[in-house]
Amino acid sequence: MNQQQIKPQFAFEGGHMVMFHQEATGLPQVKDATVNDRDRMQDLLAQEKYLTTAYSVAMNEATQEPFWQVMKQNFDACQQLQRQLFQLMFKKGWYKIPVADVQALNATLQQFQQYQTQFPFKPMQQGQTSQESAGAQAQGGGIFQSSWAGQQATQTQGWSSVPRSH
Amino acid sequence: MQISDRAPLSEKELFYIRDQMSWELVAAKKAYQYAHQTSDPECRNLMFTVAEQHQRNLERVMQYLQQQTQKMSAQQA
Repeated sequence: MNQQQIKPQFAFEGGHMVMFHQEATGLPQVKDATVNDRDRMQDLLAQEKYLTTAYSVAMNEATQEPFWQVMKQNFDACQQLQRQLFQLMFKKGWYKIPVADVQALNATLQQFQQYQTQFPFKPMQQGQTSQESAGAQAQGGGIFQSSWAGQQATQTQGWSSVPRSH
Repeated sequence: MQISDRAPLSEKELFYIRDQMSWELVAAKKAYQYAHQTSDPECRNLMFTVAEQHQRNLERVMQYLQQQTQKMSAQQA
């Protein structure tokens, strides 16, 4: 499940592009008041969100080093479960997620590229940044590595053409 | 630089530990029960994983608490 790449599909819904994954979910066609698989998964996901927050607070309030380490280990474990639960729920088709607008993406990128003059250190080279983001993507176990995302990435890549003040 | 491992457990830290152990126990039991209620194999597998991990989390905190109890009892003796 972790290694498997889930390719989202896209559709226009209510004037928005949404991404989702279609799969026969085994949910009852007519839903009644009984708890179903999606409810159970939702509850477990909410529980992980709660626990990661609780461990994060405990880490912030720690004095002793071993205490911090134990909290960190449990935090990581819960965070991992949170991700696995979300990924399976997405795979089951229980999420429809609106996609960000490419124009808005580009505007945000450009805005912060202009702020580079305010950076206290020399900005990293183009090669380094793209390598790091590729690494982060691979680590995420990526359900979002669709051909569409790749296409968008090339569209918004403006780094090399942006004049540097350094 | 690091605060000594020999520093005693703070009152606050004990409160966190007590809450967390309760939550982890409920989390483990709930996921285990859900796993038995679902008919979907993928959901069931992940629910068992979740249940087991929460038991491990609880055990980790318990083990730590036990070490701290022994250490602080020895220091106060």
